[in-house]
Amino acid sequence: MKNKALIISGVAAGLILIYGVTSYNGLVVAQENVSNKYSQVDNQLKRRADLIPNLVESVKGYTKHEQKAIDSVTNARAQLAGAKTPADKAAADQELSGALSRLLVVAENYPNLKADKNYQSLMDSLEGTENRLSVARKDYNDKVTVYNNKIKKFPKNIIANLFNFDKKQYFETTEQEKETPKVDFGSDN
Amino acid sequence: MKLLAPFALLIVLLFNTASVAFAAPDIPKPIGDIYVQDFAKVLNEEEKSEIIDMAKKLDSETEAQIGILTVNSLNDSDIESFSNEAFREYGLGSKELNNGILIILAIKEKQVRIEVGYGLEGRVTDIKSGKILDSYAIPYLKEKQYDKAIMSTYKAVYNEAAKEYDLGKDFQQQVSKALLKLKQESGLKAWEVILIVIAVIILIILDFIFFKGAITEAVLYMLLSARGGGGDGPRGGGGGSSGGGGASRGW
Repeated sequence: MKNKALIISGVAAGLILIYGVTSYNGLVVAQENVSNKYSQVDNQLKRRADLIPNLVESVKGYTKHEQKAIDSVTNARAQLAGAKTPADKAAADQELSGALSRLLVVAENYPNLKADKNYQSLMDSLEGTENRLSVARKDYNDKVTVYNNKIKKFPKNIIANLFNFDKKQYFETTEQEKETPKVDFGSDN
Repeated sequence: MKLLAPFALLIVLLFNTASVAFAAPDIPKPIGDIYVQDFAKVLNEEEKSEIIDMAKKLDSETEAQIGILTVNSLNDSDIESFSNEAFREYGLGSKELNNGILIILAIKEKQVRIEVGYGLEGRVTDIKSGKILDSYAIPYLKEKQYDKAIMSTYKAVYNEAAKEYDLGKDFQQQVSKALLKLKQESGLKAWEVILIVIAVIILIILDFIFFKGAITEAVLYMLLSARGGGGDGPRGGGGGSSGGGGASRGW
């Protein structure tokens, strides 16, 4: 009789252990997915930051008296470079997007600038990067959702607590940024 | 009590499946070969099969898949998210190489986009995608010649992919940039066609007189045997993905 109880509790303990190990591994994978996607967001942020000096140069070449718009872009870029956490980066990114869109609106007033081939190519790169960024952001947020759900749900939350799996931050943008005026380099003129 | 432990665990496991809902725009389900999804019905059968043949040839050689999607409306989505979702759902290009490209046209929104998979971003950069759209698509689109816009854009993109894989002349498509003012299709004048037909008939008659039609027979045989093949089912996507590379234009 005693033997039987021992076997049952042994099996139960074994099952719990196996479950613990697999959920731990599952959490590690989910966490790895999150950081993998985050690095893609980071790549695109860097890529965009790298494009900005070129953009500023070509805008400067054609415009006078637009120093304010240019400065706000360069400042926002510097701020983004200093940001560390996803939330800080998201805020700085948003600032930069706003400054950029204001600069592009200013650029609209300079037909010569708009007609410049380099500027047009730069715009394609910039728009492409913005788009990649929004895709990367969405992919990252999707993975964060999966991960955060996992660490919150019972019984995985026990293992998550035990091994310090922290909640991950979303890379959030507000509606304002989504409404960034899209500059159309009109094929119609 | 101890008996219950594994049982409870089992129940917990059953109820633990996480379900994540994704808010995705409505991407039409692909029909037939993945390469041409013409939901706006702008291409005729001939054009469709021309593209499918080209696409199959490239796919068989390199696993690269170039697809076309035309829709009447994006249903309030923007073309960038729409094309990215469609690209991933159709899985253009191979899963390892992600070497797909999607050309997407939205009639109502008057927008066109080339979306490039990671694997081909090096060749078909954002800048290049934009230039291809400017030269090969926009001039036709302004004249509402949707099919011409698609055909020439497709060929221009196709040529880039062929260059990426060093496929040589066999894969190069003849396509010239659309001129802003579209020239009249000059083609052959009527009397030229008549002359050619007469010449061919004379040649056939001569062939029958001197060679008992051996040459005509051989030519006919070659033409007939060049067709055929086929018989395989529609091809699907290879599971490729895109990170949002490419360019968009409005017209």
